Amino acid sequence: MTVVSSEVRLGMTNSQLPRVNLLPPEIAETAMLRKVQVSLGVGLIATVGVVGLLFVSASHSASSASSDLDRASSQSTTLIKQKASYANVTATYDAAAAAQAQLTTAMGREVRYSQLLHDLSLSVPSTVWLKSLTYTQAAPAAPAAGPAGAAAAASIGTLAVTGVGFNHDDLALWLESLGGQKNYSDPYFSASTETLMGTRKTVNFTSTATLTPAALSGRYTKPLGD
Amino acid sequence: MTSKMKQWVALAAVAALVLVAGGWFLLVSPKRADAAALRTQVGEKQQANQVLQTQIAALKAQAKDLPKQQATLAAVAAKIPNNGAMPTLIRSLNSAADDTGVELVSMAPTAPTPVVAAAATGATTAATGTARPSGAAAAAVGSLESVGVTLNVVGSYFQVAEYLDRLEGLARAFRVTTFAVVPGSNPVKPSASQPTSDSGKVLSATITGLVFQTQGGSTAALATAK
Repeated sequence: MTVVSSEVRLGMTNSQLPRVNLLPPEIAETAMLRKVQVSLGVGLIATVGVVGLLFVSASHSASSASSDLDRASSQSTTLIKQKASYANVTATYDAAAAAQAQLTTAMGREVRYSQLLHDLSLSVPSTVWLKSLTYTQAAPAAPAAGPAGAAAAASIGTLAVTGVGFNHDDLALWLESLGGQKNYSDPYFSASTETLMGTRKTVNFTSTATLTPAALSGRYTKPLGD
Repeated sequence: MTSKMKQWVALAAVAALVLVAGGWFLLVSPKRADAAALRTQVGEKQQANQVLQTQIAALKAQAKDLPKQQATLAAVAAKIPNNGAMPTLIRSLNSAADDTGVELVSMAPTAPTPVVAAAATGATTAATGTARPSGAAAAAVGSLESVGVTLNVVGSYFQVAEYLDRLEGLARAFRVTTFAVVPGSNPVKPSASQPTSDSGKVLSATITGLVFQTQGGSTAALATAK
């Protein structure tokens, strides 16, 4: 014998069963409102949580940055102390540079006259005697523009010589001898006069030349010890 | 949705907005700004620290070369003392005369005068026109002064040239500015024991030069500092 349920016998499924909601609409609405209120409350709490998380994150970031700043400040203090311990190094270097500059100012225009005299003694023609000579070094002038400035730059002083030769040609020889040296330029004479020395005819002359920058020793324009 | 429910949703949305906006503007944003400012400060500090570290490394390297700088200071201090040091100068000039055989007939110094800086030095102030280095180094080296010295020596041409060579090699800087020789005689020798001035064997040389000193400076402490 086969057992058949009443639903099958009636030819109906569960879904086709008629449902009847007997809950009053006011109560259903109140229940729905309660659900919505709870959901909204949870949403608000979540919002507060998100804001709180953002605040904690920002606070953490600020605190971390503050710690980094403290560390950097502490390192800075150490480095400043360390640098201060080298103060004498800086002071010594500055003072050495300043002292070197002073020495250059003082001696930069040095001319080694002993060497000029030595060179002169080797270059005087055999028919010429020097009676007197005067080297005068000009004070450094402010650089001027134009040809005058260029001429001033090419001259650091003058040489004035009085001497004796056998004839006027000897004076010419003397001037050529001066002009052939790098330390002198513009050899010139102001007088050449025949005279008698004992029984011999001689010529007394006065000459000048310009001292060129080549005569500068240059010993003090580079650092001492180099 | 009932109107009551809509009101709740709207109220909750407004509350959420107020929470988010209030939290952001009152809590999160100021904290983030603080953190950003701190991070900027950290960056600046770290950059400054790097500069300091570079400077310290350079100073360490310079410190190894400190003895050379101190030697330069000592050498310049010998060339340009920080006082007149006239007794030492007199002894040096006289000793050079004895060594070379010239007669040091006379010597006459002038009063110290500030040195007008030449264009080449680059360590001057235009306002004063004196050779005064700028900065803290000025206090260490002081201002440069020159003392004019006029010497009259008597001797042969080569003795005079040798004497000039000694002057150029003195421990103290001596810069000859004018040099003149004429036939002469030794005023402190009996005339009978020396050749006549006409022979040209004895020359009278007038040497005008400059020695230098600093005013107000003292590099001694730096020259010996460890």
